[in-house]
Parts: sequence; structure tokens; C-alpha cells
Amino acid sequence: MRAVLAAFLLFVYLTSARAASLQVAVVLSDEGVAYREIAATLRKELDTDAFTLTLSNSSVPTGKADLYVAVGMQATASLAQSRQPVLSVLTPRAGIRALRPTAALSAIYVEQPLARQLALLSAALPQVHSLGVLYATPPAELAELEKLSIAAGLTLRTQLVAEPSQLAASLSGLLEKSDALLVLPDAAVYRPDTIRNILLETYRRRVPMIGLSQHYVRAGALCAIYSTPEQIARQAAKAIEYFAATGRLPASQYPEEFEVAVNTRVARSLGLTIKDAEQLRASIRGK
Amino acid sequence: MRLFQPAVRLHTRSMTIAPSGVFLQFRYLVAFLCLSCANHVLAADVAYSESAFLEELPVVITASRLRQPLADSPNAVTVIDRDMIAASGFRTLTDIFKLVPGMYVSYYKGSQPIVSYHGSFDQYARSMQVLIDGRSVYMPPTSLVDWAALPFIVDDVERIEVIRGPAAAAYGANSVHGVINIITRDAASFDGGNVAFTHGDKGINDGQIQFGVRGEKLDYRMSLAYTTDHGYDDRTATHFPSAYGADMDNSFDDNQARLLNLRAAYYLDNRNNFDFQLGLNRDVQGVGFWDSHAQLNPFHDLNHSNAFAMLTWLQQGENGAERSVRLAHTRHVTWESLNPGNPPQPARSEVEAKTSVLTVQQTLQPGADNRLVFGVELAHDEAQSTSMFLPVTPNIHHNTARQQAVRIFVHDEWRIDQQVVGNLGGMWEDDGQGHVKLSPRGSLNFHVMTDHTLRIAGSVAYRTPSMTEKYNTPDLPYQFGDRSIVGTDAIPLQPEKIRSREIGYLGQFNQHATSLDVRIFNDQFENVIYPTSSGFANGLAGSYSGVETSLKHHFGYDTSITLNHAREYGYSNVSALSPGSADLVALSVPTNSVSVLFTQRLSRGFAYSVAYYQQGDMQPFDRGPSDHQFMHKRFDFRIAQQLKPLVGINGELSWVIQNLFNDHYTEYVASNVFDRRSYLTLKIDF
Repeated sequence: MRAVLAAFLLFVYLTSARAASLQVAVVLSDEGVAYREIAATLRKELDTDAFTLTLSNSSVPTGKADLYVAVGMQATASLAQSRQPVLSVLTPRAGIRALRPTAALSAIYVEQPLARQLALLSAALPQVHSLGVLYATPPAELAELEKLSIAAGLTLRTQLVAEPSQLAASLSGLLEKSDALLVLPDAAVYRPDTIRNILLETYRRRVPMIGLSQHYVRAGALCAIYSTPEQIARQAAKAIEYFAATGRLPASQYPEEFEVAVNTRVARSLGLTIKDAEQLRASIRGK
Repeated sequence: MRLFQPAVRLHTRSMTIAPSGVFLQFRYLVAFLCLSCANHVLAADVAYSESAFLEELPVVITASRLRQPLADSPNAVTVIDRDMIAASGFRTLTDIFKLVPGMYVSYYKGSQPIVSYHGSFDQYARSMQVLIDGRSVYMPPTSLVDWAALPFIVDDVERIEVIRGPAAAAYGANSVHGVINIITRDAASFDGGNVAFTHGDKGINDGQIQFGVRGEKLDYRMSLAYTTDHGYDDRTATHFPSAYGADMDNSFDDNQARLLNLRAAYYLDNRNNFDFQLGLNRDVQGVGFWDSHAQLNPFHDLNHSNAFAMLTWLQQGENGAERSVRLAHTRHVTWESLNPGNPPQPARSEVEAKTSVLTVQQTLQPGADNRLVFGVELAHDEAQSTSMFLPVTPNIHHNTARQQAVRIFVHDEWRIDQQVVGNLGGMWEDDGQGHVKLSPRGSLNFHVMTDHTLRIAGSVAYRTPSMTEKYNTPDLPYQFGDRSIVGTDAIPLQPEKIRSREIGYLGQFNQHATSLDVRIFNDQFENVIYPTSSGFANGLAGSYSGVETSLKHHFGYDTSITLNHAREYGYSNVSALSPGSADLVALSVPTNSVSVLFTQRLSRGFAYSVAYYQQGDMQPFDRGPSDHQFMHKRFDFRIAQQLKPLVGINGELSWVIQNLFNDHYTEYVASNVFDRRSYLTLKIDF
């Protein structure tokens, strides 16, 4: 009798769960690999019984959804005015902060928290005393970086690039006084067509660069801390599950899982003894 | 919501095509003005993008750009960067080598510099390989590096690495004494340009225009320049009394060069790029004498035309693999017309040397601890030489010679464990003259403690006889041109051989901003080619040994000092080859040589530097006692002021005084007396 009851309850539970299957519309800003990996990982991570995933590349998806997952800034900006809650992933924190969403909007940022980046710096290059930052538009996180640098015993040296023609001069002026260069995203400074000269100049002056991604490291930066699209998507899947369970989105957050990439060839050539990527990751995690 | 779309698109487009940040901001401004106030928020939002974290980037620090750390290098290497070059105040490339321990820099004439290692053997310094961006500028037909006619200015140079000791395995043929590796500025080294003028004593008048453009796919830079000077003295200078009674200051050595240097880089995609270089130098050197020698060699011009073109294709693979294919062609012509004799009779000479080299090279990283470089090089050398002197019969001599060399090279750097790095390599060469030789090289570097590296190294290298040596028969009735090949009977010559052993120490004390490099070496040479009364012959043998020390220290970011010292001894069988003669090799090496460079940057864009050079007593190998070089000391001083803090424009005014205390010293040929000179340079960036 008890077994029958249990079977009945299970049946009710399963069917009700199916009936409550959450409509999740994933909207990609771009068709690039990273965006597709996010979609693929979400599909893999989320229980197909509990969630119905629709994928769209257009910024304005058709059809109903209980929750929008906007991958990238362009999709997020388009969906910010929708009536449904939006989980934004792979987006910069400053971009999210500048939005005025009409419904609930929460994000999993693309970038790493500054404290984590400084932890990488101190784990990888404990001998660094002065840290250079180059920008054309003052980064939103500058004040926080200043505070964290002081706490870490670093001198932060910032340099404004007043106009594009001044990039080289501003950079070499900054590198003269810096032991390492931290890349903060700035579309007017770090672009595929400027990165060549920036990296060459840092290498020439033997100032290691801390990049934004594994692409930077492959290009010639010393190291970078970053989260893979899979890591971000797994975290997004948890947030979606949380939403399904509670009806609320978790607060905006930085990626939890991350990777460290090190260009050992560059390190050696600069005469730097540096831990390997796995050791660095472990020591940052331990903090 | 559709209203926002244009702003979003605008942004994505501007990300890819906006040439500059100002345009980017300008576009936002336009977007802002076009859209309503409510939209403003969103127009600003899309200024943010995740693309910086995701976009693919070109491999910039490629295997070929990666410098091997000095602590892992199989040789002692002296690196001179742009800052040091500027601080030295030198206006010619060759003088910069005074900052390399053990390097002999002197002048046959004001326009004909000599750069050699292990003292002074002859005016051509035949035993060093000189590479500019991987292209050999040593001309195998004439065994000559014509420094004055190289189509480069000092400002084109990014960095110089001087490998002290044989390094054929990594740097190819002719690296018997060492290698000078000049790396010029990247095609993208500047966006904009500069003009500079130098004016000073001894007729120094130099001008240059450099400009460069950085594009998305194509970067290029170009230098146009002229350099002029009167060499050691004006033609009318009163001669300088010599200790040996010979005439001094008796030669004509004006120099006037006009040159062009172009470098372009085309980035096909993130993995493939092409580098193209082109250079031309039309150099007119004054030669001849004004005194009793004038009858044989009156004042006249020695013309040089030196041109090269080089195309390199670089392809990046996975895991630091890289392939390069390079084709380089160099043509160097010298000619002169003069009227020697009494009564004067017309004479003419022309030497044309051409070399084309195809190099295919592959770099692999077969593991985190291994780096393998191998490749093949095909070289075609050709020379044509004509000498004409009317009063003799036959009055024209003409000869053409060609040779094809094949070289295969391999080099492996293996990090055996945390403490030990091994370098093993070799070059197999068929020199096209019937000699097949293998030049191996090996070293072990022990990182005995943090900051301390010990190196033991050994190598064997060969120098192939040049066409000049093979075809330069002095029994011809008359021949002009130093490097003519008009002798038609080839002298059978064997390659010169050198066997080198060294122990090195490198201390890199980063926390004290100090490095110390010590090299103890013994180089045994045999079969060395030397001039005899019947042409050139093999047979000179002996050794060089010594200790070289380099110390560098930085005081903060703005002050640094470099100290170099070399103590060296030579030994040879000259006395056996020429009974009664002293050991000329021993005499041709200065026992002690010193160079010091102190440089400091002060506030408001002011900088100064002081250099000291000292060369011990020596006797150039192929000169008589009248050209004995006594020990000399020289102080150079440079001050420079950036214009920006003073007048608001980018540029620099600098003043260089060489030989501040006017210690009149003599060069390789004693008629070249170096006395104090100064010059002023104004450089304006645009």
C-alpha cells in the first residue's frame, strides 16, 4: 500500500515537474565559438525534463519564455527592456551596471574580479612593485584597483592615452616606470590591430603583460586568468536551476571557476622563474 | 526596442573598422546626438563589449622573436639596445661595437671601419659573421663587410646581439670568431615619423627622414638619409708628426652616403605574415693621398652601390612551432677611376659581388623542455671583376667566378632538468669549392643556484676561402681594387678552422638590478689564410685566449652603468712561417681593453651619459711598426634634452663630444689620428 502511494506521489511529482518545464530562451549576441559553447554547455547541464531550451541568434527572440539567457552584451542590451527576467552571461560588469533593465536582470560577468587578478600577479610575479594600467577611457574599476593595489603593496601607475596617435608614446612612458602591465579592457587601446605593437613594446622593454584571455597568452602575454565559456555556462546553469526553484535570479556574480594560462616561453625569455599554470591556479584558489 | 538596434550595429561595426579610439568616441557622440535622451543610456551601454575577452589575436611574440635567455645561451652574448645606442652618442653603427668586451673597432680610413674580434688581423675583418635580420651582410665573394655602405642608419636598429665565440650551428657560415646579429626596428615600430639633422666637426652633416605607417594588415617604415663627413681630417689639415717619422694625416677619406631603407610587414592572418625589406646605399668614399704617395694613388672617389631585397614568409604553427622561408639577394658594386703615374695614366677598376640565399627553417617545440630548430640554406655567390691600366699589356684583366653552397643546420635546446640546459647543434656545409665540413657546437649550462649560471661550451667552425683570396694573384702587372678577383688562376686554399672552448659564468641578480658575465676562452685556429708575396696561403696557426667581463647595474629606472673589460693573449706560428719575425698575432691583440657607459635621465626630459674607452698597446697584424697603436684612452660625453617639456613639440636636441680630453690617438692606420670632435643633433618627431 505504502509502495503504491509512493509510486503515485512520484508520478505526480514527475508530471508536475514536466508540466512546470521552464521555458528558457537563450539568445546569442554572436555566432562565435564562445557563444555556441555556452549554448551547448547549457543544453548539456540542464535537465531536459525540467527546462525547455530555445536558441536564437537574433537579438529579438520570437515566442514566449519564462527566462531569457542573454549571451553577450548585444543580446543583453536588446533584452534589458523585456518584461521577462534576464540572465546575462559573458558580459562585462560595467556594461551591466550601465543598463536600466525593466525586469529582473542578473549577470555572470565575463571578467575576473580584480582581487583575483592581483592574486595572480602576486603568485606569478612576487617581485613586481609597480603595476601599469593603460586606458583611453578611465575604467570603472580604477578606484577599486587602486585600493586593492595599495593593500597588496603595489604602486599603481596609470596612463591615459589622450588620442590614438599617442598610444605608443603613452605606453613606453608607462612601461619605463612599471614592472608589469595589467590589461583592462579598453576598446580604444587593446584591439587586434594594436596588440601587436603593444606586445612588442612590452617585450622590448622586458615588462611582462597580464592579459585578458588565453588568446593574449598565445599572442605573447606572460599570463592571464580567465574563465572558459563552459565554466561560465555551468555557473549559468546553476543560476537557472536556482531561478526554477525560487522564481528569483541570484545576484550578479563573477565567474567562480577559472583557468590560468602561462606562456612559459615568454617567461623564460624574460628571465622570469614562474610557477606553472596549475600551481598558480591552486595558489589563487587557496586564497 | 527596435530604436536601439542602429546603435548596437553601429557599435559592432566601429569595433572592427574604426581606425582610432577618437573615431570610436566620435561615433558614440553621433549616436548620442541622433538618438533621443532615453536612448542615451543604451547607446552608452553598448560601449561595453565582451569581445576583448574572446577575440583571437595574432601570435606576436613568435619563436623567431623570442630571445633565448642569456642564462640558457650556449655562448656569451652582449646585448646592446636602443637606449644604450642612443646613450653612446655614436653616429655610425660600427662604433657601437666598442661597447662589446674584446671587440676591436678601428679605421682603415674614416670611411672604412674595421670591426673584429681577437684584435686586428687585417683591414677586412674576415672572420666574423654579420647578420642583419638574419641576412648575412658578409659578402662571401669578397670576404668583406662593407660597413660604410650598408643601407641602414643607426636609428633603424632595434637591438644588437654580439655572440662572442664561434656559432656556426646557429648563425651559419663564417661565424668563426663570433657573430654580430643586428635586429632592425619592426615594420610597425612607429606611426608617424621624424626628421633629424646632425652638424658637427670634421664636416659632419647628416640628415634623415623616417616615417612609418601602421595599418590593420600592412605596416611599413622607411628611412631616407644622407651622411657626410671629412673622415679624420680635412684635406688641408697639417700633418701630424709620427713617432716613426712617417707622414700622418696624409690621406683623403671623405665619405658621403645616400641611403634608403624600407621594411614592410603584411599580416595575412593570425598565423601567416610576410616581411619585406629593401635597402640601397650609394656611398662615395674619398681615397688617395696628398703627399709622396699621391703619384701612385692620387685623390679620387671609391664608389659603392650596395642594394638588397629580402622577403620572409613566417608561419606560426601549434605549440610554438614556426616555419620561415626567406629569400635574400644582395648586390654590392665598387668602382673607381684614377690617373696614377707620372705622367698620369688612366686606370679603372670594378668589382661586382652578388649573393642570393634561400633559407627554409623550421622551429619545433617537441615538449615543454625542448626547442628544435633545423633548416637548409642554398646560397649562390657570384663575382665579376675588371681592372684596367692603359700603359701595361694586357691593359685589361677581367674575371668572373661563381659558387653554390649548401648548408644544413640543426640546433636543439634541451632543458635536461631544472638545473641543466643543454644546447647541441651543428652545421653541415658544402661550400661549393669542394670542401664539405661539419661545424658542431655543444654547451651545458648549469643553473647552480638561483641567479648563478655556469656554462661550459665547445665548438668547431670553418671559414671558406673567399673568391678574393682565391683569385687575387699579386704577380699580375697591375691591379686595382682591394677586393678584386682578376687573377684567373685559382689558388688552392683550404677552409680556415677554429676550435673553441669556454667556461662562462652569468650572475643575474634581479633584486639588485645587476648582472655579471664572465667568459674564459681558448680558441685554437689552424689553416688560417694569410697574405704572402705570391697571393694568399693557408698555414697560419695558433690560439687566442683570455677573460672577458661585463658588469651591468641599474640604479632605479633612470640611471645605469655598464662596464666591460677584456684581457686577451694571442699566440701563433708566424715566427716559423717567416723566420726572424716576431709573433705578429700576439702583437695584434690588445692585452687589455675597457669600455664603460654611464647614463642618467634627470627631470624635465634632460639626460646625459659618459663613456670611457681604453684600448691597450697593439700592432695590427698586417701593418708595419709605423702603424703601431699605443695604448689610448678616450672619454665621450653626451647631453640630451627632450623638447616636449621646453617647447611642447616632440623631439630631442643632443650634443655629443667624442674624445673629450683630446688624447690624439692613432687608429689601425696611423695616418688616422682621432682628436676631439663634437656634433649636435636635432630630431623632431611628427
